[in-house]
Amino acid sequence: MSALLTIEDLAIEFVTRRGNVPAVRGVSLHVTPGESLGLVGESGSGKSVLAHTVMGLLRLPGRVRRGQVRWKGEALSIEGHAGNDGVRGRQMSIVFQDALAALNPLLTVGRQIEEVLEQHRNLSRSAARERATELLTLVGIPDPALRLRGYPHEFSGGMRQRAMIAMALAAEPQLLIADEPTTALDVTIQAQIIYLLRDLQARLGLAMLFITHDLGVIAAMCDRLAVIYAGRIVESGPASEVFARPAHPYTMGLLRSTPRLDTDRERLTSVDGSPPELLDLPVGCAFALRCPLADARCRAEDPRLNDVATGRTAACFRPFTPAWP
Amino acid sequence: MFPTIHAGVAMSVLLDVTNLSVHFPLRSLALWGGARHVAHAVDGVSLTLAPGETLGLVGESGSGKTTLGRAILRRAPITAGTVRFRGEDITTLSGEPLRRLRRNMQLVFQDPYASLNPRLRVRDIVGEPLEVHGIADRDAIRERVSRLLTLVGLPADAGERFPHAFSGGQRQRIGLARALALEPELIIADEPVSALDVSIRAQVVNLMQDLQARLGLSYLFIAHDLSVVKHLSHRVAIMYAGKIVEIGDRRSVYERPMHPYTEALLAAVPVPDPAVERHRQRAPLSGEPPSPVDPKPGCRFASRCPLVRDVCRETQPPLVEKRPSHSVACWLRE
Repeated sequence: MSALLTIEDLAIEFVTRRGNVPAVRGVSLHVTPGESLGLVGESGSGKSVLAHTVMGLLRLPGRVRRGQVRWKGEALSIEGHAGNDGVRGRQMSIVFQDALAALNPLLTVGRQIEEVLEQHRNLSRSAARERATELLTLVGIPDPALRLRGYPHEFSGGMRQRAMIAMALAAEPQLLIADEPTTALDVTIQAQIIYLLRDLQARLGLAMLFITHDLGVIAAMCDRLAVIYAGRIVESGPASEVFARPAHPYTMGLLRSTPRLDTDRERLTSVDGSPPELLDLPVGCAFALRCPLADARCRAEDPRLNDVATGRTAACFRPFTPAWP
Repeated sequence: MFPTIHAGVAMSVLLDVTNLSVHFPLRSLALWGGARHVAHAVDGVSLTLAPGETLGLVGESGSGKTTLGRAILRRAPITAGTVRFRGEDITTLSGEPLRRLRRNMQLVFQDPYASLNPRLRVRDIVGEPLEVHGIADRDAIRERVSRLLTLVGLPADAGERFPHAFSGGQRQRIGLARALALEPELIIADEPVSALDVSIRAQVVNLMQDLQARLGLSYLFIAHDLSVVKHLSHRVAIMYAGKIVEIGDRRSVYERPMHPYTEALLAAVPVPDPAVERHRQRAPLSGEPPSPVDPKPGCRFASRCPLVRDVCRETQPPLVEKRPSHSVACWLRE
């Protein structure tokens, strides 16, 4: 199936006094209609910058060095204020981690949803109000008519996240980008939001780009996943296959260091060291310093992202070699 | 209530908390008169901790877990109940005796970015408690600090640098070194790894386990979910809206949870395995925790409990030992 969203060799840097920080270093991804792609990475890996750039929200000191973002084959503008192009906010929308910061504190939740409906769906004010009530019902907010008149600070964290999802869905997008939408929430509330997003995806046929640091959330949500490390995709493939048999040592390390409730290990495997300084990247593989498999070649040469199995890629000279006991 | 004799059990129980409550009176919004409102942050909590043991204390935001930790350290006002440390009642301790006691109980914070003074070198951060308590002279402090830094796995030159030069995981090691400086017996760790990345989190959890084995430390390890706690706790306590709803040996709690809230918490943590997740029928717990202000009678979990009965809304269930070393507060288990 042809892709909705295509990211081609995207490179983004941040201009700082100490030098240009390469936050994203040549990332290519695509999302097809109805599919859920998980992008997993730790702090500073570049995953959120990538999402913001796709949404046309990249601002100085961030800038695009090279690459393109396409929507159904058409190149989108990715520099400067590129928001208002009939695609962003309309055909694809975003849910942020911090709903309190993302919502306007001076407008009622209802007004904010209605604005989206008026702008992107050309609804009259009364039709917009009616539709906003339906949207709050859709995302499981009780007493929708009453809650529409409430301000964001009057909502709990979970309810605010639901309201933001309602707003993101108001324009009936085909792709929803979710940037750590459950990270700031309590576990039982996180479970509610995951359940809601999964349900919405199935009912509305939404495609999703789900950004998270939590492999558990990916396992619950995504068909495919891509692992990002130091600004580069190091592995991608169908979620079930990558989890069952990771190809890249970093993916293996992430899986082994994630605590899980269904096993009885007393000790977690830890990945030594920390991610490299982006201003001072090693010559070879960015993961070499932390990789138990690294040899002279890994330290001298940066492995390219290659096909390692059907539908799977990895940037490693020795894919599938067990790296941890 | 039976009087408890503590002299004989001092060796098997390091910390003994009985019926502890921390209530915060709220200022009335009415100009004069008006009802007095009280937030029940911690309400009648009892727990014990043995030397060399880790008790995982799990609860969501607002459950009172942090306040409980602070009350044990005597850093939150205790409304009722007692805290005993090595058999000594420390509930009303003050002045010099309290100061001496605090050498034995240290706190490790969640946010390794906010909890270290950015203007001090690491050696001064770690050495400060030694200086404040007048434990050693300058040379001895210097030597002890470098031993502490080695102990937590930091490079030898770390002491000369400032906190900003360190990553989150390394900062948490600095926080641990500082907490260990006075050779405490009890460390209350308030979500020490929640702010860290997954690959770093395991490093710090493993380090804490190693330190416990080497130094015989006791941990009260506070967490917001059941995942990390599983790997390092001997026993686990689940807190909801100011109360402990279930407490017991780790294996018993994880394998045979008795409280519906514990079951919901276990179900809420996604397993990093699509094969498991796809087949899991998850009906998430609906609703949100109740307000701690002027709690209603009955079980605090009643408003969200899928198994609620009439009695649950009327009377608070007591925490009762239903299996060896495993207690639950739930009318369904009566």
